[in-house]
Amino acid sequence: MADVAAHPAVAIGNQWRTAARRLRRNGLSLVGLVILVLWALIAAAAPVVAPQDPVAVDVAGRLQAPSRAHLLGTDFYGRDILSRIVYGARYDLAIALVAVGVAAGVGTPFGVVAGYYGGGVDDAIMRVCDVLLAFPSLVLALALGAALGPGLWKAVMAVAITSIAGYARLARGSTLVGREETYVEAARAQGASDVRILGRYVLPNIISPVVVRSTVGMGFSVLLAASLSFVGLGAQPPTPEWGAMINEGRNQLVTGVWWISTFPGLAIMSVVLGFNLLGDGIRDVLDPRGATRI
Amino acid sequence: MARRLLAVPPIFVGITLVTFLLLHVVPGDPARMYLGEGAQDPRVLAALHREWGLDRPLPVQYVDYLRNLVRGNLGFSIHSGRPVAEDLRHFLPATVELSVLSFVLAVALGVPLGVLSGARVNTGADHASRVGSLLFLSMPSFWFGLIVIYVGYFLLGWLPSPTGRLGMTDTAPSPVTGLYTIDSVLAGDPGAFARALWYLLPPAVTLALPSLGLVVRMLRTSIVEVLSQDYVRTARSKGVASRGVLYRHALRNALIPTVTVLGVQFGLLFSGNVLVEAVFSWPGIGGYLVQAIQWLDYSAVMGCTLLIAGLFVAVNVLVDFTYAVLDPRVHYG
Repeated sequence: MADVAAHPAVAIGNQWRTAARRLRRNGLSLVGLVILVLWALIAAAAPVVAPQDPVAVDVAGRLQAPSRAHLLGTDFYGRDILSRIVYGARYDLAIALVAVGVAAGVGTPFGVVAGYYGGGVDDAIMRVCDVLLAFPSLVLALALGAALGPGLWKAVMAVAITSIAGYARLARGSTLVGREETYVEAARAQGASDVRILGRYVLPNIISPVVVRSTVGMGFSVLLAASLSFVGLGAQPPTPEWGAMINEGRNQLVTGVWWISTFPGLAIMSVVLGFNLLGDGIRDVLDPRGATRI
Repeated sequence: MARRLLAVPPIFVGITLVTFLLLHVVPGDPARMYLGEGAQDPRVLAALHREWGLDRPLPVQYVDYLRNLVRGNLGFSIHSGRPVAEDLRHFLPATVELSVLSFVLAVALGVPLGVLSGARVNTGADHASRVGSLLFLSMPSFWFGLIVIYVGYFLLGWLPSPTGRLGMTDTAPSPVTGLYTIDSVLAGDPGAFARALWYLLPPAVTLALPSLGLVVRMLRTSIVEVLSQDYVRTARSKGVASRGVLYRHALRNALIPTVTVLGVQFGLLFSGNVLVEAVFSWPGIGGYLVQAIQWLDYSAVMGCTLLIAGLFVAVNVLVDFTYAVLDPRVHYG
């Protein structure tokens, strides 16, 4: 044990390897991983996979039901829904990665600093977080989105800002526990600088709850960004973002044209489900209290 | 508990600061917006700035904003042509009615399903309710609302038209509480009650599903955890029937963390409403907010945001009280 405590990086390396092994045995989270890998491949190979140009207008072939020529039908402008969903994967996966990347990338350091130094810094950061967390996320995202104006990346920023406080609070909590560990004390006694202690000893040990939250958070970000697009704040036409596509089909629904809105919704559901399943699996694997598993 | 309550006023001040900043700093010049794209005479612009106090320093404007808030003045809505506060009062009952019913649905269906799942881990019923609840959590609720309308109303004709709280030709019960279901009961009109409930159900079910999914997941986890505790083994070994163990020993303790989740969910329903209301043309705060966003009606947007955040904080404080009552180990302050 003394050996491990002296080299936390070694212990952490083992911890991640064990985790990966346990994840492989967890059936449902593997399903989630497969769903996400498939979507990532589709997004990467979009020009090859998509049968048509996602923004090519074809007035003669508009509002066609799913058929052999258009597997998922065409929309009001005659654009091929399948091709739009395939290209849409690029936008929605990018939204998930960027929104969570920014939120976790900004929130985690703030939380670590708050937890490690305590005192006035801690108070200042956490009071701001309290206020941000006092808003339901959808409403804060909508208000930010309305203030920033329409646009895909503005909506992504609105979603990211909405989520920052959650990561800060999570990281602060873990840091409060982590800074009391013997190995942190040992490093401090050896004269390590704060930056070194934080980067090498505190951060690696609080990263697993952040990873769990980020995985589920990616799914949630897709839902939030789609909601913003649905009210016209996010992606603008003709961008084939899935939430915007649902909105485009909304008025055709009562004339019996169901395919424009239905398929992008299913795409969103499958991606979010993938993130949720994978997040569940990662939580079970990294959760030291085995009780929540089974 | 006193300490918890003391933390609330600064949060309210923080909320107003956020809406103020979003209103006054980010969207640019409201006077310019008011005048529109065309002729923007600099003298008219300056006069408007003076009249609205926009030429004064930001902190002074914030104090003005707070002073107006205290008087119940949330500004003027461009798209409805009425004061925002009046609009909110007008639209709030429909939202409350919808939120309460969907909350009741989420609890009434979620608690039994969660208990079933937790008591019969890894059976077919457990897998079905787990997968179902994950699906409910993963789908966009506005999308599901559209599917409900398409299948239930357009295709099958079983569900009422998505025209809001009543059909085009129905008359609303005379307003007492503003909640149609309660008002119709007060008026002694069972037909009107049935009609109001009928129109309420599709959006309420749509709204309930994500919360339902969360309740099932939470309760399942805590039931599984509680069932492995020593006191449950003790109860079993002294011969308590398994049903008695489940309800008397397990459920009571498993409910404690679930109550927190439920409380947060109830607060969140007011925000989940936003898009579902828009889809069902429900005349509540959510539908109003979506319209305000599309009209760039910033006073109305921030008024809604303020109201929803305020309700959310208030509900969370109430939940903490409930929590302290349910769990004697919790004492605040």
